Formats: sequence, C-alpha cells, structure tokens
Amino acid sequence: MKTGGDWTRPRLMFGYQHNDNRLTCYSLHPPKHCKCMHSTKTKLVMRATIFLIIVASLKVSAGTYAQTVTYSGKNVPLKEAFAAIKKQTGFVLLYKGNILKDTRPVTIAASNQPLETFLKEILKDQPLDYTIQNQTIFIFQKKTVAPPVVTTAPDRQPAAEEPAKEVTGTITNTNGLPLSGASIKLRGTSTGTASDAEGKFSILVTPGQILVISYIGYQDRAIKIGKETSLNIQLLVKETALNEVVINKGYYSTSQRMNTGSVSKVTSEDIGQEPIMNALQALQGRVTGLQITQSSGLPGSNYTVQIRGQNSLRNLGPDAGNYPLYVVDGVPYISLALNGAPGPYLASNSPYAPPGMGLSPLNSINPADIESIEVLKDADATSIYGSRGANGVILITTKKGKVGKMTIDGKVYRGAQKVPRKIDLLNTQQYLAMRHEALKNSGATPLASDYDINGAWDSTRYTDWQKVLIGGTAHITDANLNIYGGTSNVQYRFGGGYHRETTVFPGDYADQRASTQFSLNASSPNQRFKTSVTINYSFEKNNMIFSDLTAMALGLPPDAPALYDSTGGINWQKNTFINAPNVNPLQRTQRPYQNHTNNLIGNAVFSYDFGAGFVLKTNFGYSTTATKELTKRYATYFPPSQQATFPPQSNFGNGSSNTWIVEPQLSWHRQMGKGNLNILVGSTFQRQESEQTLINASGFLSQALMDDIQAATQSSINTAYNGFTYKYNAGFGRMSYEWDRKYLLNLTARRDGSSRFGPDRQFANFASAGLGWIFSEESFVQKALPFLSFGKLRGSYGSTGNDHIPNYGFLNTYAVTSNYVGNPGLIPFQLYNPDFGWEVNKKLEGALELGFLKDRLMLTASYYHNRSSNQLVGYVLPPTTGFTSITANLPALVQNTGVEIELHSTNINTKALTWNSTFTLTIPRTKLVSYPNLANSSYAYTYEVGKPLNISRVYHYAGLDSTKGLYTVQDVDKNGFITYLDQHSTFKGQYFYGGLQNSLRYKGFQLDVLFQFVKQHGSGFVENSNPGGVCNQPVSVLGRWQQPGDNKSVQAFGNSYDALVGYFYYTASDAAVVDASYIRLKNLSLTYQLPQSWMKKAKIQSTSIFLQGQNLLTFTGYKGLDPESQGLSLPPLRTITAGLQFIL
Amino acid sequence: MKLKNNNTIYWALILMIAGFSSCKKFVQTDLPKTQLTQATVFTGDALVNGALNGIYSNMESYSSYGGGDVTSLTYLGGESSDDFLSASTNDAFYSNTILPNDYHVLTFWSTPYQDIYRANAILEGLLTAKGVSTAMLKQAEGEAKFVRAFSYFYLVNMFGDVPLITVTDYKQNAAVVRTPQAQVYKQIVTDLLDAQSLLGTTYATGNGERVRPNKWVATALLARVYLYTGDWANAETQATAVIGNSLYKLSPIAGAFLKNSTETIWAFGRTSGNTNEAYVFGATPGASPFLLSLQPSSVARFDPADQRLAKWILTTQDFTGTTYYYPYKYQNQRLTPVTEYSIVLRLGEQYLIRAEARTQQGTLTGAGSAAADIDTIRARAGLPGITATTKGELLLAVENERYFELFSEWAHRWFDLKRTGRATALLSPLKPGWQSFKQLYPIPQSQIDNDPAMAGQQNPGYH
Repeated sequence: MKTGGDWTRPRLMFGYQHNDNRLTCYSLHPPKHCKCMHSTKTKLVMRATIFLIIVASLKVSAGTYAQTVTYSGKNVPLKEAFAAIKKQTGFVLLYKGNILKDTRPVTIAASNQPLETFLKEILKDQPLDYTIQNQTIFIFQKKTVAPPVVTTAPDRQPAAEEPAKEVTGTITNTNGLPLSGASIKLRGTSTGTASDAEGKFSILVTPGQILVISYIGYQDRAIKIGKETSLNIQLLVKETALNEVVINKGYYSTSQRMNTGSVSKVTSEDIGQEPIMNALQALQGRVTGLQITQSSGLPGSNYTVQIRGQNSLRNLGPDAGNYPLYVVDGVPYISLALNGAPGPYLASNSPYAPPGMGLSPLNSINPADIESIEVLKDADATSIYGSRGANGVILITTKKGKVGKMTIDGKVYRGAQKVPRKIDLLNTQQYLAMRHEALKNSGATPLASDYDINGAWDSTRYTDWQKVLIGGTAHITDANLNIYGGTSNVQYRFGGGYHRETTVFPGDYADQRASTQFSLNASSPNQRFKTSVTINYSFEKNNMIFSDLTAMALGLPPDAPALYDSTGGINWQKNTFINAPNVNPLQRTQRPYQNHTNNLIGNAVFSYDFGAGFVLKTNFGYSTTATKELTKRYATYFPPSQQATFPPQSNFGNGSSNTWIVEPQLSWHRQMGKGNLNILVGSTFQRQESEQTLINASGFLSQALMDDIQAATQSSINTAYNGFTYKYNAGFGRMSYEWDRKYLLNLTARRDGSSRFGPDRQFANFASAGLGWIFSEESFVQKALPFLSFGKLRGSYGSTGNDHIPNYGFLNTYAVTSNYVGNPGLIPFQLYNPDFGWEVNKKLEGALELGFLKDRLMLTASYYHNRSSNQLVGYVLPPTTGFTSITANLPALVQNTGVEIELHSTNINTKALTWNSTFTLTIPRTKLVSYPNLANSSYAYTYEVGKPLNISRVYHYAGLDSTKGLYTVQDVDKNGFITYLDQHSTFKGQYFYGGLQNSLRYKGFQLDVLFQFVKQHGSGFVENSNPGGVCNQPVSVLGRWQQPGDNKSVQAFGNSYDALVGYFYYTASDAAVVDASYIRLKNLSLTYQLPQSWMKKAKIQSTSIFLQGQNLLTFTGYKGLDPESQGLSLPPLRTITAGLQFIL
Repeated sequence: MKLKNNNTIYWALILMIAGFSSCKKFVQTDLPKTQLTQATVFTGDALVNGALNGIYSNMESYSSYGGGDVTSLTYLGGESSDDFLSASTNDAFYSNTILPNDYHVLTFWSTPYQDIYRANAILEGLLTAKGVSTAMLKQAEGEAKFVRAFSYFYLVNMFGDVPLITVTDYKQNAAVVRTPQAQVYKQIVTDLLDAQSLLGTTYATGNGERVRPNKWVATALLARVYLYTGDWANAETQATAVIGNSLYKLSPIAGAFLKNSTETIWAFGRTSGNTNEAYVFGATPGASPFLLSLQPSSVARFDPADQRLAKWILTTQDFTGTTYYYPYKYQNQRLTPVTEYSIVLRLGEQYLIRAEARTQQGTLTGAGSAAADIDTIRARAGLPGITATTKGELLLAVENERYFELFSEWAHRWFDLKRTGRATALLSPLKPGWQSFKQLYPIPQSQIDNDPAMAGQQNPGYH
C-alpha cells in the first residue's frame, strides 16, 4: 500500500548510513563527510538517530558481545575506567565532551567481568546510560534523547522491578502521514510527552506500563510496553468515537461524552465544503434548533438567525430581541450590521435596507479561518452567559497554529452564480390584452399616463426583463493562503484570504473581502505559563447596485422601452419612462453606492498554572467595526427635464462600534479517586461604544467632486448623529463533578449588571444545573443491552436573560433635531419608563444519547421546553401618544418547545471506502401561553393566547363574487363590513426543518452531499399589483374570471376601486399564506486528492481539486421565485465552483 | 497544611466574586451624548426656545402634513378635491379610494399628534421650570397652545371627531376614544384665546422674520376657526383685527409669496433650500406632469384677465401637445439663495373670511361689506368688482374667489367644499365612484389596532 512507501524507503537508507549519522550526535570529532549529510538532509539525520538507537538496542539485547574486562580501583575518575575498557576490549567509547563532568568517582573490583556487566557496574550511580553498536560504546545522559519528556510529577511513578527505559516511536495516520502534537501518556501517571513535527516521540517507560496515545479526531490507542523500545504506531480516524469530540462551552471545554448540555458543533471540514462568504450559511441544515433564513440573494446580505425559536415578542426593527450572542475567540461580536438595521440614518440610503437588513456582520470573518462553530442552546450551556444567553450563543473559534514543521496551505476556487428559477410572465400580447380588458371592465379609457397602452410605447416590443435584469451570471472568486507550524512551546498560524462575489444584475457590482488572521501561542518550558494572541482583521468593500432589480424584473411591462437610447444614454422615452415603478431600471446605476467595512478582532489570553489544579486565566478582547457608506445620486439619476429640480446629492454614512472585554477567571481541577471536580469563577467587564453619523450634502458643482463634502453647496448639509455607550459587568462561576465517568453534574451561575436598565434594576442573577448519567457504563446495562455501546441520559434546567433593548430607554430625554430657521431644535426623544427590568428565560431540557454497534450509529434526541416571561418589548402604541412605542415589561409568557434529533452513522468504514451519514431534524413549537388582558393591549391583533407567535391575522378568503368576479373575503361577524374583526390567525412559520448529509470517501475521492429540508407556511408569491394594473403578471392570471358563471381562481382584470379593494383583501387573506416547504440540495462537494506518489516528486504534502455547488436543486410546490426568501427580493443564488487546495 | 491552603483560596474566591460582581459603578453610564434630560430642558430660555423650534422644525419637515412635499396636506388634500390632476393612475387620494392602512393617512394623523405631544410636554415642563424668564414662560405657553390648536384644527378637518389629548401620559393617551368635533373646537378656541393674550404683538421672537406665531397669528387662525364653526360675528371681529393691523398689507401678486412679504402672517421659515412646494410642483416643459398638475376644468374658471392666472400658474405643453397647468406661487426651486418661505397664514384669506362672515350676517354690499372685501382681493388681481348682490350670489362669489386666491395652498379648496356642503355636487362629476363619506379620511389602521378603545370607531364607509 502507498501508506507503507512513505516509511520503508528512508528506513532502508538509514540501514547503511547509520555510522555517519550517529556521529552527528555523539562524536567528538565528526568525520568530514558528515557535514554535507547534515546540511542537506537534516530531516533524515534526525530520523536516522532514532533508528540508530533502535538498532543498537536490539543488538545489545541479543548479547552479541562477550568481551570481558578486568579492572580494580577506588574512587577513580570514570574516565579511567573507560580508558581501561578501550585498552582491554578495543571498543571505542564515544560521548559528548562535558557529560562526564557531573559523574562520580568509581570504586570497583572486577575480574574478567563481561563488558556489559562491567559497564552497568560503573555506570550504576551515574546519570549516564550506554548502548553498544558494533565495536562502539555510546555513552549518553539518561533521558536526554530527542524531545524532553514532560514530567510534572516524576516522583509519583510506580516503583517497578525493572528499570525505566527509553521508548521511542513514530505516530502516523493510516495514510502514513505523521501526526504531530499527539499526546503520549503513561496511564495512571501524569507523565507524558507529545509527538514532534515528524510524529516522533521518546519517553521513559518501565516495562509493564501502558502508553496511551491520543490525538484529536483519532481513536486513542493503549500499548502495553514489554521489551520493545521502538514503536510504529498508526492511529485510526475516530469515526466511531463522535462522543469524544471536544466541545467548547465558552469559558470551559468538555467532551461530547461528558457534556451535560446541548451544544452543536460544526467544524472547518464542513465549512470548507461550501463556497460561501459567510460561515452562517454553512450552519443551514447542519445544526438542530438553529433556524437560519436568507431573505436576499444580494452578496453579503444578512440572515435571520434564531436558536430554538422566538423568545421575545420584540421581533422587529433594530432592537429586535431574538438575535443570538456571537462570541469570536472569546470576544463578544456585534449581532447586527452597522449599516441597515441598527442605524435609522444609514438604512435609508443603503441597498441592504430591509429585507436584507444590512450587510451581515459575520461577513467580516473569513470562513476559511474558522476552526469550529459551537451553537450553545440549553440552560446548561447558556446560563453562564447570563443576560446575553436567552437566545442562545454562537461561539466561533478561529484556527490556531499546530506543533509541526512549517506548513503552507493554499486554497483557490472560482465559480459562477445564477438565479435558479424564472417565473413565467405574460408576453407583450397577453399583457396588452390584460390591460385593455382591465380598462374595459372598469369602464375607463387609457389615461395620459398609461404609456404602456396609450401609444407612447411601442406596443410591438417585447423584453424578457427577468433575463435582462436578473438573468446575468455572477462570479465568485476565493483564495486563501496560510502558514502554520510550531514547536511544543510556540505555535503560529498566519495568512490571508480574498473573496469576491459579483451580482446577476447588469453592471459591475461586487462585494469583496480581504482578510488576514494571525495567531500565536506560546508557553513557558514547564508549560505553566501560557499565552495566546489571535488577531483577525478584514476589509470589506461593497459597491452594490442601489436597489435590488428583482421586483422590477417581475413587474416592468413587457413592452417597456429599450434601456438605452440611440446615443447610448439612458432612454427616458420622451419622459414616459421616468416614473416609478415604470422607470428605466438603469436609473439606479446613476446612484452608486459604496460600503467600506473594516473589522478587527483581537484577543489575548494569559494563563498560569499554579499547580495543584489551580489555573488563573485572563482574557483580554477588543473588537472594532467601522463602516463607511457613501451613496451618490448623480444629476443624471433624473431625466434632463427634472435635473434642475433635483440637484446631485451625496449621503455620507459613518458607523463604528468598539467593544472591549476583560475576563479574569480562576479554575481548579482535582481528581479524587473516581471523582473529578472542576471549579471555575470569573468576572466580566465589558464596554461597547457605538457611533453613527450621516451627512447629506447636495448641490455639487461636478459629479466628479461628489466624494468631497466641501464641494457641496454649504447650506444643504444635514447631519445626523447617533451614539451610545453600553456597559456590562458580571461575575460567573461553574462547578462540575464527574463520578466514575458515569454520573455528571454541572452547575453554572452568573450575576449580571447592564447599563441598559435604570438604577436599582441593573443587576440580576442567572443559574443552571445540568445532570448526566452514562448508563452504558453500568454493568447491568452492559449485560442486558450488549448492542448498546454508549448510552447517556442528560437534563438541564436554568435561567438566562435578555437585554436586547435600546440603550438609555429608562431616561426621559430631549434630543437635538433639525434646525428651524437656523436655530437648533429640541424634541422629546422617547417615552420613558424608568421601571423596566430583565426579561427572564427559563430553559428545561432532557436528552438521550445512544451509541450502537461500537458507536457506529449515534443518536441524540432532545426535548426542550423554554419559557420567557417578563417580556421586555417596544410596546407598540397608537399614534395618539405622539410615539410609536415604549420599552416596557409585559406580563406575557412565551413558550418554545421542540424536539431535536441528530443521527450519525458510519455506514461503511473500510480502508478504501468510508460512508458516513448525518441526519438532523428539528420540530419547533412556539406558543403564547398567557398574556393577561391581551384583548386590551396593542398586541390584541398581533398575537393570540394559546397560538404560536408566528401567526398572521388574515381574512378568510371566500372566492370570487359571482357578478363582478372580484376577490371576496368572508364577513365573519355578518355586520355588512369587512373589518379586522373578520380576521382570524393563521400559522406562518416552520413546522419542522433539518438536513441530511452523506459523506463518501473512496481512495482519493471525497463526495459530500447536503440536503436541507423545511416544512413551512409563508407568504405566497404576491404580484406587484392587482391583475390588470400597470405591472406584469404571471401567466397564471390568464385563468381570470371573465363572465358570470366562470369558476376561476383569479379575479377579473380591473383597475376600479373595487378591483383594488378585492386585491387588497386577497393579499390580506388566508389564500396568500401558502405552503412554502422545500427540499434543497444545499451543498455538493466533490474532492479528489491527487495521488501521494505524484506529490512526493513535487515535494508537496498533498493536493486536491474540488467541485462545489450551492443551492443546486430545489424541490418545492411554491409558486414564487424562492420559498426561502419569498417575496420579491433576489432569491438565494445557485453557485457552482471549482478549485484547488495544496499543502506544502 | 492542605486545608489551610484551600481556605486561603476559598477566601480569595469569595473576595473575587464580591469584588467583581457588585461593581455597580461600572454599569452606570453617562447620559447619551445626543440627549438632555427633560428636567435640564426647562432650566433656561434658550433651551425652552429650542423645544419650541423643535416643534416647528417637525411641522415644516418634508415628511409632515404641513411640509408642502408629496406627503403634505397641500399636495394630497389638493388631490382629494378639484385642485389637482394626478399623473399617477394608482393614486388613492386622487381617486378618493384611501384605505385605512394608507401610509399618508397615517402621516396626517400621527404628525399632528406628535406636535400635540410636544406642545403638551412643554406646557407640563413649564409648570416646574426653573430659571426661565417670565417673558419666556408666557411666550412658550402661548406658542404651545397655538400649536395645539393648529394641530387640532387640521385633525378635525381631515378626520372629523378625533381624540382630544391634553396631557403627555402615554397610558392615558394609548386608550383614547374619539371626542366630538364640537368639543375639540371648543378646546381650539380656548387655546387660541389664551395664545392671543399670552403672545406678543411683534415678530421679535423670529428676529423680525414672520416665522414664529405671535398674537396676530393666533388671531388669524381664530378667525378661521370661528368661520368654520359658523360663529360669523366673531369671525368678522378677529379677521378685522388682523386686517386692521399695520403689520399687514396685501402685496402685489408677483411678490406675495416672497419671504416675509407684508401679506405673510405666519410662514415656515427655511434656511436650507427653498420651499418643498416649489420642488414638488415644478413644471417640466415638454413633458407630461412628473407628479401633479392643476385640474384643467378648475383652471378654466379663471377670468382670462386674472393676474393670478398669469402670475401664479405656469402653462406648458408636453410632446403630444397636451396643455398642463402648474401652481407657480412658489417659483424658486434652487437651494440658494432662499427667497421664499412656505406661507401658512396670509392676509388674503382674512379678507375672504371676513367677506364670508359678513355675507352670512347680511352685510352684503357697500362700504364695509362682503362685496367690498371680495373686491379688495379682485382689485389686487387686476379684476373689476363683482356684480353679485344676493346672499346666494355672494356665497358663490366667495367660494370661487377662495379658489382663485387659495388654490394649491393647505387644501383650502378641499376644506371649503366640505364645510359648505358643496363637495358632492362639485366632485362627483369629476371623480367616478365619489361617495359622500369620502369627505373624511379613514382613521389610520395602526390607531385602531393599537388603541383597543378605538375598536369599531372607524369613519363610516371605511372598513
């Protein structure tokens, strides 16, 4: 097999070169030719050294040398005894110059003693050891071969009859690649070492002891040491030991096996399979309990992220209370973009205004730099995050350096993106017929402004606007290069990445990101003091078209004029193609937008191990995001006839957010018999400052000067400023106790204070308890259920809070508003409420984890039951209050329950072929349990007690009326009017969702296929206007009502008030809430690793080529563009990419 | 030994938790850099003046009903009547097919209530004010009451019965019912009478510019309110008080809308750019109307010799040869220099208020009569006196003269047709599907939805 080749060739070579190699270590006078060996083949020399020792010791034990020595002396220097050996036996003694310095004088009386006995005698009390090779005796210091052994408590080693000996070995995977940084430990002791860059190690072992070799991602191996002194150890990939995966729970880590909470983990392997800009996308379909919705296909746009449902009634706008907490390398990260949603000022001039809700803040983190993402869900996992944990926590850990030689890892891919689906729209003939029929039905004649049918436009034209406006091909380019390596004391990783995505729109628009990451870990020689520094920096540059063209692509009349006039300019068609919605789409090209976002996340951790289990650690974090937006509206945005009226305008938006955090913490670990105790206490100091400024300037002298505020006419500058400071302070603790690896207890607590609350309301306590029982460790279970390889029952209960509310909400304040005749104005800023307090979220979870067939089949089934009370919301007020809302606690109780199932199976696991499957399923349920006096509150028509939160109030659709053929809805209370009282609630959300991933590996090929499925109800494809209006329609409208007696589903074409009202009712009825379920081939990744033998020649560790696809197929009955994004925005694009990865 | 060690650590932990977690000072923030507490506002004349400026700044903003932009009453209310011809087919105000969830109707409702909240907040803040001069206390109270009256005047004329709110307590204001119009008018009159007695007689507060309400501004609105409520004698008295004041004089047609013209009683002052009206109604020669133009059948009523037709209306043709008419009272579309202010109250209207009040009281012709007032206005427009002699003829003459004089300003025509009961007669030929209930706009859905007490209180005809 190819795995052997890697090893056997050097071995042969060493066989005859060992005489040279040994000298590099031991000779006082190396022969001349050694130098060239050394300089050219250092690597080989190091390997050879170990082989030399192995070979030598084998020969010693074979007892080939029967020379004898006769020598007597009292307190003679060791050197003299050596001289006697040389003289009497002819053997050469080799040793490093100064190793005899600390030796004791020798007292011996030997007569014809065998050489070895004599050597043992004189070296008995010396710090020296020996080996014999041919006629050479090597003398060396004990325990000094190869890397030093880390011995924290050498005195505790069990006394053994035989003396300890040096055992060396090499650790490789089944492909023969060395595994560096593997842990080698003596069972029952704290003695251990780690493998070096070549996978080699050396350790002092007493025969009979057991070596345990472990490496992340591989199965542990235990080897009982007998007489052997050299080992060649292969580790098997831990595909059946999922439960040993290390789980990061933020302030501490545990293994999947010992975990008492609910945490889902996605690793870099999965993320790397997707050609994406934003790592959030890789979580779709892979994580249970995590609902991620993409509402726009514009590159870089945001996602709606919810962990285990909607907890807070506050679900809209910049202060929405259902975002999870993001923590990147221990630093809290903004969950909302700085453009778009959070800043009321910037939103209005950004193409990423809702529905995209701004650019996703996670764009700033290069997915290629992410090692793992952990999603913390239950109380056990989130209570330690206290007030910020109610909506779950997403921990992002970036890649760190590894012990090993310097490795260069590069990856490049390119690809194309398209809108996957077109809607079949009316052609010109059909459209014009519809318009004329509508006018006829409404008893009207074309108006002066009905250009589509009054002759102003050429009625023989036909343009497929979907093809012209959103039918293009977007390009995606991604490149990453990283360098990493290190020794056991220092590891480093650094590198950079570049990503670029264009759009399907006509024109040159792109979202680009350049990023760098730097990570350095260092530790003191005794490993007690450790420090790590991680810096992620990225720059995003975005010049998106000012607004999405999708709605226009679907709505523009098919006979609308050409985009360009005969001179190549924007065709305004004699001022008839100028009024929205029927305006030349190229108008938007005259409103360029640019967004520059700089993002820095820096983190430094210092820890010191005091011994006796105490470790003091402090985490210092800083993150800063700065967004600079500029929207320019050129004079040419308007037709020449209007240019005098609308001067050129620039909107400058600047936003920044800085967070620093300091978290000192002390942990204590103690093994007590079968018990294992961990205690952690710490505290958090956090401060965030955010600032946004908008400057509107107009009246520029020249288009070329529109980046320069100075060039604007002075008097036209309006400014807006918005800033806040958020401070947060907490103390937290954790205690966990494991007994006999069977019974698990994990307690966490946090006391939080937040500046978002008024005096006396700032602090609150949160706590949780998690319990686990690994019943498969019980002997009666093992006897009764032998097929069960793992079984754990776990449960947790606890509280978390939610402080996602606006800052300063408790203050009664006036703010500065625009000037009035040059005088500054003040206006009341908000309705204030000094008394609001924390929203409390109580979470209960029970789960069963099972492993069958030696863990080849792993099942996790969990049930959660979360209740949020004391709801803190922007309570919607009627306009008569002068405001739209007030921050207040509501006596409402929201419940989220659900079942999550995760199934991993190893279907085939042979050396040639492996096939793994992962299936996830989440069935979420949300319910408004109670709301005293709901009927008299502002939410009377938004929510309903006993119903889910994601409901929509709709009319009951009652078909077409028989005389006019217009949509009607049911007058439920039969009072003759259609009012809100005739509305009922209908569910609009997800019933269940999940994914199925299959991974196949055959020799060098790896195929990964991820299907995502969602069962849901959503907004039906709502046309831009009523059938018959100045707006194109799907061909399905041709099935309209035409005359009494028709049994049709589409109302008569018409523009009358009645037709508009009918259409309005229809869109607000249950007929517009449709099944938007889908199954999507979310991701397909095919990788081929080029044969190792080719790589050897090129001196490359490995090279693979890959094809990846995203959103390749969607199976749905949904009529609109896409069942996920719904509505009229650009749907998620279909992506196909090809690339190359190499490791040097 | 070990025990002792553990104890030390135990105490260290206790101290650590105690030290860190009760760090109350750490989580106290300073005031936001952009805000003042309410108490701070009522501690000085300049700050109180700032709070008043804040109201006017909101009232004149382009997104307010008073801003003169596409969301304004001038624009949309003009569409509702026979002032304007809309360029858009789907125009709910033009076709009088407004739905309760209409965005503009919400603006018409919420911006006056915003101003009312601010006025109420000032009135409440003044009660506990410290360090504010007596003069400012009087002025602020007078202006706040004027603003409140002004806002209610427009609310009742757009919506009919509206909730009457005179406090800032949001709990109270979130559960209000509709107050009968007559009662709202009573409050308007009370507030305006108070304002009259509190406010000064000059324009000193606006540094000589006619941009802040004074006693005469309150008087002019009071005259209008009396007219609208049929209190003819008081309407005449109040209008006479304004007309007789030496501050005001009819200016020549051409300069009537220039800033601080002698015609101006109150205008929204502007420093950054000229009026929104000039932008919005801006004519595009050679093009069909961008947004609006004047209703040709209404323009046809003008006497060809009327100077207002020549000076206040711009006539243009599009590429098909169709003629369009644009309001041209405000002409300056440029940003600088600012030459025009958006006029809220002007002297011309006062003459016509008095003419109507006199007609209703039977003072029809001769000196000091309705006809004399109408002729004053006509003379300025270069027209001969009227020949009407009967009350009926004079009422029609006033109606027409009000259109010629006040078209495309603050929906005067719309309000006139409604209050005189002439809307159905004049609008139904022009507007297919016209029904009488359309004289009132629907109460915005968000009010109905979020104020449980308003359930079922929608204006008739809307659902």
